[in-house]
Amino acid sequence: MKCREVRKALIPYLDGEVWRSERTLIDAHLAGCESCERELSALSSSRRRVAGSLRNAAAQAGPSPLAWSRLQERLAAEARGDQRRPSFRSRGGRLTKLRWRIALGIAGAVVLAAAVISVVPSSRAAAGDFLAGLIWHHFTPLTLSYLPEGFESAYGTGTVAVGAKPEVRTEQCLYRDGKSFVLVKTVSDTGEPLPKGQAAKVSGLPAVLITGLSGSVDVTPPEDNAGPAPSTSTTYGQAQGSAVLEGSAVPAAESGMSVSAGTVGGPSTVSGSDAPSMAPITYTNANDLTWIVDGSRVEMLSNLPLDELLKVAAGLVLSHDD
Amino acid sequence: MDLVLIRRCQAGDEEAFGLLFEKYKNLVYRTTYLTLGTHADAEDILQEVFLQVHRSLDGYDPARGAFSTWIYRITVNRCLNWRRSRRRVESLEDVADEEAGSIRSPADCYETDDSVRRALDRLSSKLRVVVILRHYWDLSYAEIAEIMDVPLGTVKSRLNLALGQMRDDLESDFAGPAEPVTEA
Repeated sequence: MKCREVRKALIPYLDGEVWRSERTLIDAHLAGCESCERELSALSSSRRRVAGSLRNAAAQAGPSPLAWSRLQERLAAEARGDQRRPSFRSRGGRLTKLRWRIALGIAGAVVLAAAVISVVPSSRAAAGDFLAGLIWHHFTPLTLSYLPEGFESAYGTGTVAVGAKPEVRTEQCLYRDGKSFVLVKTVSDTGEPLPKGQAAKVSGLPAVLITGLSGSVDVTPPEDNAGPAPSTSTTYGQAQGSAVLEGSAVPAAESGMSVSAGTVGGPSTVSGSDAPSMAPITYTNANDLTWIVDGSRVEMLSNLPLDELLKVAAGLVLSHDD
Repeated sequence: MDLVLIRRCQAGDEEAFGLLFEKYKNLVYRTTYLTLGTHADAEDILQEVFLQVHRSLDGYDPARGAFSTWIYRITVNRCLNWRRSRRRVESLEDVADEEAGSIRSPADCYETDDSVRRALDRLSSKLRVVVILRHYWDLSYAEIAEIMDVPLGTVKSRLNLALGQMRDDLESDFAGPAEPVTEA
């Protein structure tokens, strides 16, 4: 065999994918050719490095604990959609005449409504409220695609909404295992600057990281998790305590943690008769990340190690209904 | 085992589908993660693959190949289409550069050997998939040919090309180009 032929066969040779007769010929060539022997050795070493690197990269890779429940939800949605949502397009790929008429009717109604609003001042406010409501309903769900093994929901489904919202609204979910927790909260962005802290990035977006937090988090869900932001006397799921930055102290009130003004550094308080029956999670040395996604301020508070928290934050992905 | 589960799924047993998911989720997730480089993409593709499996399970014919081959094929096709459809493929290297000094993205977990990562990233998607199937999943050339629906010779040439290219990349980090062939 010539060197050129042997070199073409070296990778299959290393992979055990050559016939016995071919192997014998290659062995014979290698015994007398230092150059091909060196090539074999180099390929063999690269091959080992590649395999080792792939194994290491994949060792910690696994689906989120929520993957199965998310799939079940999508399967259920698909089953419902199949029954009640026929394809918008007809077989020929063109809209039917009936659908064209419906579409034209809707377009006409919109034009008429716009004309009325433009000439009747009192109708503008009502229209504004109506449109604001429409905008709020066009939120985008953000889903936790990664959580450490063993984390379970204390409340929430792992999905929080973001989007342009006309009013301040809060959504949150809390996940925990025996000793750690992750609280994710979205609040309508009111245009206030991000809190002071270390500059960071989450999925390429500018974020603020605050470290060294201590306090406690209630494990009972807010009364209205998708409703208006809790009042200052309600501390459900909100981080409390002083936010101390490494290097420079930043008062909690400035940290953007939505800390109730009267409860900084104090115990968890709950208003009314809806006091949670489960003990709050007390934490020290926790980290908080805040960043803006699609018109909402996202806050993630956790006592996980920082690198884990960053993984969870980067795994918070926009979900799309196909 | 798979056949029993598949028959149960085809009869509408959702618990059996859950068992199939449990058995194959890592295969799908890791293949995708190694090909595309981010956990977020791997999560998305995992969902898409199992949605497709659920939709197509009635038409699955075991006589035409093992279930694992089928699920590998769906996964690989999804990954290749994903990269194509995104047009701007986020290079693992770019992500690492962008995130350096700030927050590390999931793609940065894929950095056990920077040189290998860069070399893998330079491969085309098709070459990278072949490398992953061979060197991570330890599949034979015949199995890879079946999954990718290409002749055995194509698998061989893709692996030759991929490993040769990676070897050159890895060596150029330390020594220089590969030794030219001089006939013995």
